[in-house]
Amino acid sequence: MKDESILNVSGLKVRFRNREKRGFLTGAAEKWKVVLDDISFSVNEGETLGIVGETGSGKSTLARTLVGIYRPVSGEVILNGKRIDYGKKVDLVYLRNNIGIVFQDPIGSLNPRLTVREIVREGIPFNRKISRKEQDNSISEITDLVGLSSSKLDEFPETISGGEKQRVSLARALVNRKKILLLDEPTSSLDVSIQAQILNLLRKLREELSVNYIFITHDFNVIKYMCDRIAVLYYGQFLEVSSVQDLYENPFHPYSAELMNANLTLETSNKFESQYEIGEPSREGCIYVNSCPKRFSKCSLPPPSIPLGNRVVKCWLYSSDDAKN
Amino acid sequence: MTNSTHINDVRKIIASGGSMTRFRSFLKQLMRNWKGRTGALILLSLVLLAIFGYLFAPYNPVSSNAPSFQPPTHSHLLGTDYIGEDIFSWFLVGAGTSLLVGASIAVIAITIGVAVGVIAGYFGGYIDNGLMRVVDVLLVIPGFPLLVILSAFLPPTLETTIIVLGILSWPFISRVIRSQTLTLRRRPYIMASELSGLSGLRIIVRDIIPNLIPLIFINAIFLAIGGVVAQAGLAFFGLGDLRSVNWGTMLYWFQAEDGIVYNAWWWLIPPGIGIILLGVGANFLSNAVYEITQPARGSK
Repeated sequence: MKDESILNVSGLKVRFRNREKRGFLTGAAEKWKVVLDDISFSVNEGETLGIVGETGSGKSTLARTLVGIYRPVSGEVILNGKRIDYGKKVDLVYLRNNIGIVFQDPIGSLNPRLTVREIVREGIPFNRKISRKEQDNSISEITDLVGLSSSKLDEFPETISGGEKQRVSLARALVNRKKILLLDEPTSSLDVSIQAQILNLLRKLREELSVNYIFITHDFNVIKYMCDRIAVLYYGQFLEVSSVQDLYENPFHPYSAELMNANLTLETSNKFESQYEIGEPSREGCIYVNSCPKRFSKCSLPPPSIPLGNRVVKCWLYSSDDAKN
Repeated sequence: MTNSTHINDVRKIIASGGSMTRFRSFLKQLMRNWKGRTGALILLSLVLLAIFGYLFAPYNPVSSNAPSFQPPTHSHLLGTDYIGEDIFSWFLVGAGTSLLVGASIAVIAITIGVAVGVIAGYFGGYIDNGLMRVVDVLLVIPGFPLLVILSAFLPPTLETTIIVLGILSWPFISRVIRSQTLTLRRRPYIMASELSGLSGLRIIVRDIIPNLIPLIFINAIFLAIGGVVAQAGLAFFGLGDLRSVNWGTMLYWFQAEDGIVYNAWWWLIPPGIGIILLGVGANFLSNAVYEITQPARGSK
């Protein structure tokens, strides 16, 4: 199985400098804030991985780390069998040539001062010497593929619609063919009918360009429609990674269960009342312990990632040495 | 309805920058805004006065050829000063010097201010901290007293005034530009440019500065006006090159040679009105540019 994985991430940790002001007498605040901790997953050929999580759980940070905007402090990223060293420029270029990204906000991600053509041209790596004519050819090819009419090429982002803007973002990400495309909530700011168009387009592109997606979203319908596997992110940690079907039918982690429950009750009754109290993420032990209905004594220790068949769960409930205690 | 369509046109034009036709149609939009029309008219006539005014000066402004303190007459449209120099000629020739001083100050301050602001805002970290502490120091120093002291020690030429004023006005600009750069810096399209491998300088030139142009334009106009006023203020206190013919030195000689005792209003009013008009014109024009580039605020 490891042979066919294109991207293999293990133990990824990202932290930001803590900008909170220190209290005068309350002592120093922690210097670092860990945003992603012990993130491990792999993306196999022809597979779409979904990443779900609440706002602020680190979804976008993960995406930005994978294209080298942020640097991890520890962990390993292996792309096509090549270990990426974030300190090396060559490796970053390699990373960016193989992993593209589509940002969430279609307005902010397009420079208002450039025409659509110039925006798409940005996707062609600057250091690659390609004649202007070849560039123009690949630009018209990709814009054709994403369904932008050629008359839009000389327009400015302001004059095209939201759906078209997202198509431009896609074209920019794919004009230089990528192995993996990170989609950071690409449909969340579009209305439903446009969402459907974009999702269908993404499915079409997946087949025609044989690109693999990492789909970041908090919309379960999108997950169901697009993804094969799903990773549940909670405050910087993957609590469960499993196939979409498994997660829907039988979520293992209490948090995944809560998410699924919320989703299902919304689908059936249009109303959702959580039976769990919602607590802050815990700083010690299991990160979900403050909200978990199934917590027990062991949860004060950080749980290991436990592989169970083709899924991975980070919860003491499934620990095999449970019997000892 | 028509209003909103042409506002869109303008945003497109401003957004694109560059070619002549776009610039021309930007001017067209500016002319449709009454503030833009008024401001441009006032500033344009003052600029024309500055460039060509001296051709119409009836006398050499620095030669006395009439009785002193003569009120306006046919031969001396704005009367004469304390040694019988023609004030109308002083006003026309002085306009050129004053506006040149203002423009030079604006160019110096904008160049340094934009460079420092963009570099600090884009690169951040130690560079930002270092540059901004320098700016803080310069901003804390009270400007006018420092100007007075510097002008007193440096050789009293017009160039000195220009350089001193230019160097003292950039810190404020760099602050404004830095904060705007910081917000642009967070836009995903800048990230997209970084991902395509563009270097920091290229991103600054290609993605950041073009988005700052309306802000730079408004600040440049105000700097130029501020320059004219500051230079006049210095001259009024007898600092700088007092032999130079400009509106500031007109005010200086008025107070130094007891214009007020002789009730010589014709000597005081022309440079005063010239400076006021500059300020009014600049305000109108910058308001219009602001309304056009920020259509959400709307314009009437």
